[in-house]
Amino acid sequence: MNFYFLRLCWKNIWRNRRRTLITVNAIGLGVMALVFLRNYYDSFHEQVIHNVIRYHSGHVAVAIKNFEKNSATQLYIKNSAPLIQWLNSQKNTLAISERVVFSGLASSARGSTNVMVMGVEPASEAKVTDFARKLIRGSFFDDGKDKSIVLGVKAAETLNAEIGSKIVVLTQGVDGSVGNELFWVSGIFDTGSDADKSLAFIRLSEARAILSLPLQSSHQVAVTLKEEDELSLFRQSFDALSTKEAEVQMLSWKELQRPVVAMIELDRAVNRMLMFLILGVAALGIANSILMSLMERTKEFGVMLAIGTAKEEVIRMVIVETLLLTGVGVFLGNLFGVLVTAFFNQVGFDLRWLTSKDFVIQGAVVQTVSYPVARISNSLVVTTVIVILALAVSYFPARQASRLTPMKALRSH
Amino acid sequence: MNILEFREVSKVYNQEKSGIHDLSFSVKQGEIVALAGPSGSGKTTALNIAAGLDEFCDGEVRLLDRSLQNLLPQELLNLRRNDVGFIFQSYNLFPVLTVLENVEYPLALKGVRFYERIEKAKRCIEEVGLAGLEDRMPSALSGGQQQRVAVARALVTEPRIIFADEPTANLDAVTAEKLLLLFRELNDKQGTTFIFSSHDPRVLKFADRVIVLADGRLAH
Repeated sequence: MNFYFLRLCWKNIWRNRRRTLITVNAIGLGVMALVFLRNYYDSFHEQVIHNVIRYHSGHVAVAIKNFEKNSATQLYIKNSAPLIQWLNSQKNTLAISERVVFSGLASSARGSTNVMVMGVEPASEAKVTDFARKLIRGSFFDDGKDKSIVLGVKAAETLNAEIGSKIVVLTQGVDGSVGNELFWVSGIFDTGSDADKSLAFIRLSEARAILSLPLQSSHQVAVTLKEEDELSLFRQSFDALSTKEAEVQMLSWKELQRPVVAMIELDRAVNRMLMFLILGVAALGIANSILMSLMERTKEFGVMLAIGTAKEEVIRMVIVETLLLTGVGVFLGNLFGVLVTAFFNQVGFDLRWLTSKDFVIQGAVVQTVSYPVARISNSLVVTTVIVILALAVSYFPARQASRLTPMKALRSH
Repeated sequence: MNILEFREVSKVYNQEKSGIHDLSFSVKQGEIVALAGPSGSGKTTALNIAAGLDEFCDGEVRLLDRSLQNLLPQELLNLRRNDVGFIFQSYNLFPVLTVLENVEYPLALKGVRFYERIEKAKRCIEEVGLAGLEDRMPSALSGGQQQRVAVARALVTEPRIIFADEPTANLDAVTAEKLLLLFRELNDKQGTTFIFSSHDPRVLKFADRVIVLADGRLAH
């Protein structure tokens, strides 16, 4: 089709300006809404993933097999030094944090509460999780004192503890002995998540001592990768690792946080369904517009055929008109979708008018304000789907056009 | 040499009440022929069949030495594009295109390049006396001017034969006269064959030969 026919098609779609504008608006609004929604959901999901990673075990947790099911203190890596060395040597490793984890009873002079105690190297842990940045009082073991404990704000409230308060941690050692130790509160964090009432940090060596664990042993090593999509590469390297203990396993955040992954998958499925619904309605608008246009121009098609236009050219014209009509809507929809995304990227898309506070997913807090980022992939997906739907709905008008004969068309009114 | 031949051609629409029956006639190269007759006599049907726009039931139609019923779709398409021009009673211009674009249309179908297309279309528009109106839309033209655009569109590919269905039906006397003179001029200059269907006495007087039809048959 040469430029002449392209111009003819362009002029044809604007012969009923109002109808075309309504159709273009329907396509544009649908595309804009979907481009923005997809951008928003992507940012929201990334925030959820980020928070889950930064408040749990990073991208990957390496632990004894079945540790995540049993959480038994007896299931520990006896000598984690070679593993630590190997993890540090990997090019996609950003940070690692060796951990000893146990549940115990934390008591102060004014109260007690059950806590999950995490023995960590403070500097390493601060690179893997965000707890050190969420302190509202004190420091994350920066006081240089031994026997320091960092508590969540709610646990501190339950214990009526403040910076410098004495806390006794009581648990059972791996050898069956009773492990207890006196700590002084050095920091209190506030993440807004469940961790605030149930998590406490102490130094790694002190955790080993309470549990009577051997030196260089640990329950898990949390790993943060440079990029999240390096997970499969990391797994390949890990599976090939010959020096690891046979019973050591690697669990990605997706395996550790299955409900979060399921929620994101469900969100995406609903989003896809919404996309087909919205674009389906827009496609019906396109079909209506093209069919009406065709009915009004049947005699004109007769003239075209009579003076030597091939049926295939008429069909091509119908399809090109459909694509041009769709193209205008898609262009405007994408343009405004990106602009709306850019606007909310600056000011934040705030859902507080729908839900009164930040919410918690799998222990990680998710803010109601998101800052969506425009992604070309989202525009491409929406554009591809609407173009395919437009081509599908143009089949019927095109088929109708292909059945025309010059005389039949010329006799129509 | 005959450019068009009808040999016992029949076309029946409904219960033999209309159409044409065993119609035979021929037209020579360079002739201006009028198909005349009252409404329902079959002149438009005969014209449409002759131009390859309509089908027929029996007989044989030979156009430019080719039998129409034996033509493949692509051959019929080429005939329409290259050798035949058609002027409709109600002009049937494309309303979204300018005068120039309307005349360009058949050339664009043939794939003629832009500059050559524009040059030819402008020359035809000038020939039909519409120079200066190239950028007007059809709706901004009078009936006579629109008919001239339709003539220019039919002429622009330099067909060997032009069919015109009641070409003066919607025109006033002066405009009709001008149009007929234009046909004659083209006939003299280029040897184009014209076949009209008409019951306008001016056209009948103007034609080299009149074929009169009655009830779908040649009237004697």
